Amino acid sequence: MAAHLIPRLLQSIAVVFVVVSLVFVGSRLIGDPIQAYAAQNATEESIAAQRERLGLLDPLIVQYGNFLWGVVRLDFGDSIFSEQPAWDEVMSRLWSTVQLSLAAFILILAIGVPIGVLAAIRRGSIPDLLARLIALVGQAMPNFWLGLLLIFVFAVQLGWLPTSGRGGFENLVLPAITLAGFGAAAAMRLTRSGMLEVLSNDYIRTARAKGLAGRTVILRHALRNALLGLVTVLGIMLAQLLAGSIIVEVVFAWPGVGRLIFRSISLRDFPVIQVGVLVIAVWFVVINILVDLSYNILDPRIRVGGET
Amino acid sequence: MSAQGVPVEEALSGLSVRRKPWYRRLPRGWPLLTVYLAILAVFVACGIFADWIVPHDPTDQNLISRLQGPIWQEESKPEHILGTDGLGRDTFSRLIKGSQTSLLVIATVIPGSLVLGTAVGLLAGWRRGPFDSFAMRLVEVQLAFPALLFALLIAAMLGPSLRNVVVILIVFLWAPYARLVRAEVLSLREREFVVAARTLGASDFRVMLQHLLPNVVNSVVILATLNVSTVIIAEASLSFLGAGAGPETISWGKMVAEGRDLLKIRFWLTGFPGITIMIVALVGNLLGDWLRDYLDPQLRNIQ
Amino acid sequence: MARHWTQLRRARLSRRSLLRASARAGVGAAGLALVGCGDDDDDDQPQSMAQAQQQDQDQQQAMQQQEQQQAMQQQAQDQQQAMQQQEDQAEQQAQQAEQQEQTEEEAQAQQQEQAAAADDNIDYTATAIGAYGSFPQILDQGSALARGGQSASNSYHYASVFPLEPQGTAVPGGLAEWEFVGAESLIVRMNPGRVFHNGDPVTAEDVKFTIDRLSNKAEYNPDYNSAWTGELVWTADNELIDQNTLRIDQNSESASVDAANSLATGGFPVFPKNHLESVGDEGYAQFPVATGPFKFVEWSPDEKIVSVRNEDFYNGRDFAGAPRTPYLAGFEARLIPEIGARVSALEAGEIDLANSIPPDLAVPLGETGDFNVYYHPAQRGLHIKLPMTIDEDPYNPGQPNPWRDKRVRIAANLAVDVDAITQNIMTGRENYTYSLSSGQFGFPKDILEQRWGYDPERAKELLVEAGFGDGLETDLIYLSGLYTNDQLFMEAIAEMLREVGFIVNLIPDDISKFLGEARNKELTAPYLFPQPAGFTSLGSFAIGVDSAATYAHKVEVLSDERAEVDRLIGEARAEFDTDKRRVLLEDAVRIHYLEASWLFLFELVQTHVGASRLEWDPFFLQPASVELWNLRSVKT
Repeated sequence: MAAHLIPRLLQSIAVVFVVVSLVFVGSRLIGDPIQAYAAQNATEESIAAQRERLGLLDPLIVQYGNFLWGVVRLDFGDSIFSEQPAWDEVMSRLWSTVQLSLAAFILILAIGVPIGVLAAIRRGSIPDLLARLIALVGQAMPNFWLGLLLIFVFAVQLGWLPTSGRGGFENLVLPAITLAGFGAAAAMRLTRSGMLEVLSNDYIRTARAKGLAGRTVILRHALRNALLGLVTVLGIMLAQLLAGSIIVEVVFAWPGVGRLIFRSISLRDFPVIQVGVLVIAVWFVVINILVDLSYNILDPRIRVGGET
Repeated sequence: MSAQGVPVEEALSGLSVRRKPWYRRLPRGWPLLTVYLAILAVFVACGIFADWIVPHDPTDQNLISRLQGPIWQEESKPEHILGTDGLGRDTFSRLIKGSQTSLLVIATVIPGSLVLGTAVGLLAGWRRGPFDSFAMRLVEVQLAFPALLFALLIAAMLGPSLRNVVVILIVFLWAPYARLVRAEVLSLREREFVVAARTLGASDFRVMLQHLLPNVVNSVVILATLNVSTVIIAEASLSFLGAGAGPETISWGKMVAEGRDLLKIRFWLTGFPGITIMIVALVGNLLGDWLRDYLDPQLRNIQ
Repeated sequence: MARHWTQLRRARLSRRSLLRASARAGVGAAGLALVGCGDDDDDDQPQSMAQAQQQDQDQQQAMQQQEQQQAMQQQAQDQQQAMQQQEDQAEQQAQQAEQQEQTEEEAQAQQQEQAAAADDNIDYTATAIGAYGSFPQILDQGSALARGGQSASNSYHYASVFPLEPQGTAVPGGLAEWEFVGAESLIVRMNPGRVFHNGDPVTAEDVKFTIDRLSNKAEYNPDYNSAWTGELVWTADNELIDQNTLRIDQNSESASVDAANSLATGGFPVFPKNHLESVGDEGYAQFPVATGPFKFVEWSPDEKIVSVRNEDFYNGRDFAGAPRTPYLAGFEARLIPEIGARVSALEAGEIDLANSIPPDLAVPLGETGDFNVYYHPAQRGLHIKLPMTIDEDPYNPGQPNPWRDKRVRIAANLAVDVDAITQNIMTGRENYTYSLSSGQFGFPKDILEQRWGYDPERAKELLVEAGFGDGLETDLIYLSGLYTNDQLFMEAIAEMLREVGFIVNLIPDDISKFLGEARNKELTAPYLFPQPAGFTSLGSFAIGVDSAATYAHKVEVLSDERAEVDRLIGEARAEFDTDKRRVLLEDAVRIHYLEASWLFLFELVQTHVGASRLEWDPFFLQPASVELWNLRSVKT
């Protein structure tokens, strides 16, 4: 176990390192924060002084070294624009994005998977067709359009839920549905095809032939095996919800990390972009490791070391 | 319940010697397939012949007759079937012209990411070793990298343009192909025909091209069809964030993004492009599903 | 009531004494400019033109109303507005009459009666929630980083040293009184009893500290990123005379006019020296302690800013200037970036005020009768600046810059149908621009008549004459999403230019990139240019046109005419006699306009929508945003 985990961890660290380095280079390529930072009538001397103070005049390699050294010490510098530590800026918004992502993920699990199972068992029936249609529509709608339509129908016309902003549970419903829309549809389709594949396997037929009741077969054998194939995809989905929530955050005025990074890109606020992407990348690799570990729990036969 | 073994007729179909009449030889689910293909044909035709079939110049503005409703609404003019946008441009013509953009994006992004991903997947699965680990780490990096943020970085760097959209989408869509193809190649490489070819002295290149590629094509094509919706939606999302195509380009995604402020009072401004996106994305998905059922031998056995 | 009267009298007294003082000092013009720029600058001529333009617009409005069959309520509101405008104008004219004081007294008495009548209806315990499209990064008004989304916070947490009257010129009675001493110095005397939000008294030391801080001279943090250096270039030095008196020495080069410009628009906000030094710039940026009509309570970045009424605010509700003590007991600003979501939140009753709503959405909301639509001319005159600095045509290397050909510039002006844009895409209430904002400075009347109209045929001819019969390729740059419907009107302008033979590539630019290009003068194409807010006539004109101005968007003078414009501005800058200065400026405006130096568009009118219980009649001619202190919640 540990023998496997250590190389896995090292690989993950390498992945994070590459992602963060790419962002470092990318954010340097988009230009200078000084233009949005300095006052409009700032003199050339004062602009030069500010560049100097912000460390923008150092050679790129020095800036990169400083940045990496900062990562090691968990000191990422201050946001150029809010003058608060970039780490705090991201952390203060992280929970609200994680909350949204988890809510969406629960929706995906609670809606996508059962409907997928149902659709697989009753293949070709009306419920199957209906579920597939809904899933396809869900996958075929631009996120922001779905969000605005939901606001209009459920918050304005029906008045059931708040239109936007963060607050109680009711504030979470519409953004979570919007964010889950695409994923739930994908999960439903994957569950369905995974189930179909498993159901066609010999051992299921054997089980049936042995006279096991339909429900037992489905729950004990088929679903478990189908889920196994799903875990990776669902893991990636959960990982990407965190980064994919920008649009939902904008539409629902949700104060999250996505919007923070979005704005930081337009202002060239390097430290915040870097920390934000670092957090997203760490989140991703952590989930990937958890996915690997969950194989052990779900299927003791598979040794995590094996090729998957 | 459903999986009750293979129907005799079905099992024998491959073996039957006598040619069946043409209508018996149609693939299962052909009526729906015809519908999908017809819609696809309309889409492609609109894309190719857009400039000839638009009733109005899609860029022609008329500020006096702006924001008109579709023809069934009271405040409408017969010459604008689907109404006009905020600058009085004909929505119908813009939809047709927009299909050109979508077609262009689909026709570049999907083959681009497909070829790139398949090549990497083939090599990684066949060669194994360092290239394999490198490629798989690359895939992981790509998946760990937030795609939308990358797109925003690119747009901030180069300004919004259709070319950037295409590049961004290829960069972010090749990885699933690579993973898929690699997984398939891993299971194929131990199969008899591959081993045989190898022992007969076929070169790596030849094995990959002649023996492995034909066997992964099915899955790749299925994935490609399913990607149609991803591409269209991604283009719309980039437009929403201001990282989409430039103002000179007419696209469905941009039409939805631009009309969204007036959703409440002019639903159809986003309704038409939104529904068009849905239809095309739906057809792409359904076609993918159909192909999967048809091509995947495992699934084909299930009734 | 009695208190109001004493205050009024005191205000007038100080005004009179100031006039006398400045006359004594022999710098009458400068003093006058400070005490009431409006009195001097707005003589009959520009005033009547403004009226003519106003009438034109009123007619247009009336026609629109008939067409659209607007609800009675709307009409009533418009009438009210028209009345208000008439009153304002009446007041201005009266001010010029010889028995100025008497008339003023009457006008103000009238206003007070109205206010008294309305008082019973106002709910002084009500609070409101307003949604904005953007928030500032930090809450320190002095910092350049607070730019963007200022109206969501700084505009009501801070108040400038000198309160303003409707036209945006300073009046006495605020934090301090001021007086010119000779041509070089300005004495600022603190009014007693003024306190910061934390209860500390406002002293002359704080004002001195503020000036030092804003001009990057304060010792506690020399790296401070001030947004106000341009406004304070006229201050050479300052000296504390006692706790309540400060002498500001002017920079002799920039003379009194720059000082007047700066002070006449209220000067600057005042920062609490002791508090700021103890919490530092970073701490202060998160929790502003200022003197404004609302007190900051707390904020969640990207989410909301909560404030309560400043009960200690020194300007009463009947004070001559603004801001005044608010009617609302509290205000919460929310950040809702999407316009559709803002409107939805308003309709669902979650918020009471949705800022910056395009007229297409606002007008139908107003027609339901459940909402009030507020219009106000923003401090934004929109122009497209033409690239005069480059020598070559970027699309035809080796060829001269086509924009240096006057015929091309005129063709561009003739090609754009400003009326069609304002009537159909915008509110229809926009004024034309002539390089200056009409609310702050009148135009020479002859320009109004010589306006470049809409004449696409002539534009085509001119392009052919200039040798561009096959079309003239050019980029057209703008920052998307900054102003209401900007993408729409820019696309409309691009299309209009294409109609006459320009080959236009419309480019929505990224803000950081744009600012960099503008600063480094790398913009080689026409670009949308908003007149900066908060400057009076000369200041804003000079900043837009004068090549000597230290402004990022400056253009170099290339033609003889432009040199002449520069010369006139330079003379005006040194001219103390207001009448002579106005003539000089009018000449400069005339040349600048007739040279078609820019592509002249219109002045932006902002549209906001509020719940029906919230009433607002703009106090300023050109408010920067909804005046929260002036927002009344009516009892229902």
